Amino acid sequence: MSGLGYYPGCSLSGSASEYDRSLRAVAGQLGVELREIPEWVCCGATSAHAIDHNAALCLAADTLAKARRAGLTEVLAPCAMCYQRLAVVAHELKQNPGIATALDEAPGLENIKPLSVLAWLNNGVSDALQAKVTRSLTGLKVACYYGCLLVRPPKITGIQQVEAPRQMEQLVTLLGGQPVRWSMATECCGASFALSQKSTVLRQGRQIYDAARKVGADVFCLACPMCHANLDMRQGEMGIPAEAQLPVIYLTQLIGWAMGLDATTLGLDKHFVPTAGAFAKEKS
Amino acid sequence: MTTVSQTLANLVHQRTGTRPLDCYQCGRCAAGCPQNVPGEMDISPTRIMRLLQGETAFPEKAVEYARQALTAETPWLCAGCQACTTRCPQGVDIAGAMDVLRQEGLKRRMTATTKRVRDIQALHRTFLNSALRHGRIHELFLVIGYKLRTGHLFQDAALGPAMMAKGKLHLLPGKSADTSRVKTAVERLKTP
Repeated sequence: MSGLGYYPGCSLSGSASEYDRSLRAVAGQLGVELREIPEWVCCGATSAHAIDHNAALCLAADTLAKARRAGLTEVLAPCAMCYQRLAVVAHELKQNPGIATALDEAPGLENIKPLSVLAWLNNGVSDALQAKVTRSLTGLKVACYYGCLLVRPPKITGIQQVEAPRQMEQLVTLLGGQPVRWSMATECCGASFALSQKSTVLRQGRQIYDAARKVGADVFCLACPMCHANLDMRQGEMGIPAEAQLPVIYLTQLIGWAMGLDATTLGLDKHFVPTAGAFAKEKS
Repeated sequence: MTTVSQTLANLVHQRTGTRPLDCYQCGRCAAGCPQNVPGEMDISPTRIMRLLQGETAFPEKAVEYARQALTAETPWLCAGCQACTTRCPQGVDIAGAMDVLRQEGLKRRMTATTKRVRDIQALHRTFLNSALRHGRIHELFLVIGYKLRTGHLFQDAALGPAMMAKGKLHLLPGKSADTSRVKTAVERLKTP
């Protein structure tokens, strides 16, 4: 069965629609057919595992089961939170066959492999990607921001250099951009506290911004809808004047731009911090 | 069999396969925790591990140690960033222990009751109810549900319209997905 399983999740169906659009556009350029899991359900995110262990297990396991039924063996989950939940539960399924039984599913669900966007781009398609770059990002200084759940914990993500990952930097270099070395690449943005404990998000966001600014970054590049919302929508609230704000760009938008796709297709017009300035610099 | 007399340390071991008793109090979890800063967590993650050790080591005071761990704000202010779990030299899944403390606290009706902890609990409840009912989260309904639960009606009032103008917040929910199978499975797992 050809095609890659695709699990957009709730954020990419809503506030992070530009991540979904840019990812689909990039996959199209690479000739990768994305097959959305029929009837996928929410991964439960932070809230399910915080308050209800069994609900957290069953929500993610149900989506893995639906992937298997559709003949899929690998599932790309672009949202860092969705990826983490699918990966944690795939890991749990190995130890606890009772979960599959409770869902009336045959054993073996753990063999459905969740893929993060980094794993997909770095291991599967990076050669094809390089061949498609038509608009080099020469001179663009990029702060690659991983956040938490794309990399931690290594037992789940399989990432070796967990304190200093380089996957995103490799991709940005491939596009001609210049990744900066900085100190906050894997610090937490505060994630779901955006609604319930805003002081955390503003404090963390400001520290992340200051660190990127200090080393002269032009833009943030990231691959998580929560990191994006917290950094893109709240720089004003963090006390950063408009002219000093840094654009926050999804990895797939950056790749799409380097492939020559236009700003509207990539949803670059949907951000709070305008993105056009960053690319103007690179063009000149 | 899970009963209230089950120690928290044992529950953590069952859930995570790692033991709070292995902690030697080096403080690495506390050092890297983004929420272990003034104004946020009331006690450090390292201290939480110590309380779970005390619960096992001193049976006559076990109830008190458990109460202190469960009623701290710390488990609720944990962002789940996994830095502690990743860095623990003894391999203790501290973030996983925080999950156990939150869940057990709710089950035993023994959690911190400050306004901010109640807000955080309200968000988790609103989110999970919505996920289990509709199968997918509609962000606008989530925000409205949270505001109604907490009374924070005007928080971020300007953000909503701005998000809508950018096409980031949809008035109408998108597709929902059937969750009857998930709900049945959750019930089945509850009764071993």
